[in-house]
Amino acid sequence: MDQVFLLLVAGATSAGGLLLGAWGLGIPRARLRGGILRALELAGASAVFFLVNLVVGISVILAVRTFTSHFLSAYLLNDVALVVLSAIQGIVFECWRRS
Amino acid sequence: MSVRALRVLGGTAILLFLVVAFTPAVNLLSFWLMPSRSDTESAEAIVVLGAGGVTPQGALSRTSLHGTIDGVLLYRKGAAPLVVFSGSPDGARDEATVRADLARECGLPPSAILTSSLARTTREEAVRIQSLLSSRGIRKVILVADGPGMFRAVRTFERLGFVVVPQPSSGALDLGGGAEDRLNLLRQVVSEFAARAYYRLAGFL
Repeated sequence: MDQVFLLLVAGATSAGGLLLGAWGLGIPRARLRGGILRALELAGASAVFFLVNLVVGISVILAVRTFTSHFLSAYLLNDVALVVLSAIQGIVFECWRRS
Repeated sequence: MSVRALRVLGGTAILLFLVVAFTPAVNLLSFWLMPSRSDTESAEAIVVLGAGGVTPQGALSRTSLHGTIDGVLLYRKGAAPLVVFSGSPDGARDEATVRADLARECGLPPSAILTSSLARTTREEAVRIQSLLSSRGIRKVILVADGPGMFRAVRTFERLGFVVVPQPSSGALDLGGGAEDRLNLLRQVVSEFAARAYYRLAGFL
C-alpha cells in the first residue's frame, strides 16, 4: 500500500506537470518525447558515473588493504550518498557536454 | 559513449529502480540467496557473527541486537553449550563485548560465553573463531548471521573444517517492506554478490 501511495502521488504530480507545461506554459506536447529521451541520457550518464565510482572505490579499498597496514571496509561504498553524488556528476557532465 | 547507449542505460537503470522499489523481486532474490534454516539441529557451539557493529552512542545496532538475541535464544533452547559472540573492533565500544554483556544480563553463565573482537571481515572472523574453538575440539557450530551474507559465511567456515548449521536471523520469506526497505535490501544483495566474487577470487570459498 505504501508503494502504491508513492506511485499515486508521483503519478498525480506528473499529470499536474504535464497540464501546467502544456496549457499553463504553452510548451508543445510534441517536445515531451525529446524531454523523456534527454532525461534517459542524464540517467544513463549518472549510471555510468555510479559504476565508475564503484569500480574506483573498490580498487582503492583493495589497494589500501593490500599495500598498507590500514583496513578500509568495503561497506564504505554501501552508502546511498554515492547514488546522489553520481546523479549530480552525471547531470553536470551531460549538461556540460551539451552546452 | 553514444547518446543511444546512454539512453538505453538510463532506461535500464530507471526500470531496475521501479522493479526493485515497487515489486517484491529483491525480497525473493534475497530469500533465494539464503541457505535454509534448521531449527532442530544441535551443535557444539553457537557462533554469532558480527553484524552492523555498535552505534556512536555505544548501543548495538539493530542487526547486531537481532543476532545477539538469536544466539541467546538458541542457547536457552539447548542448541549448544557455548556461544561465541564475534564483532567489529571499530566503533564507540567493542561489539562482541557489548553482545556478551547483554547475554550475561539475559542469564547466560559467563563460562558459556566467548568473544572474538579483532576480526574485520567474515574470513578473519572464521580464522579467529577457528583458533578459539579448535583448542576445545569443537567442529560443529550453529552459525547465526544476518541477510544474504549467510551463504558466504557458511562456505568460509566449512572451508576451514567446520561442520556448519546455518541459522539466518531472518529465515522466513518476507515480501513486505516499503520502497526504501527494498532499495536497502538491494544494496545488501549487490554487496554480497561483489563479496562472493572477491572471496572466490581469493580462494576463501
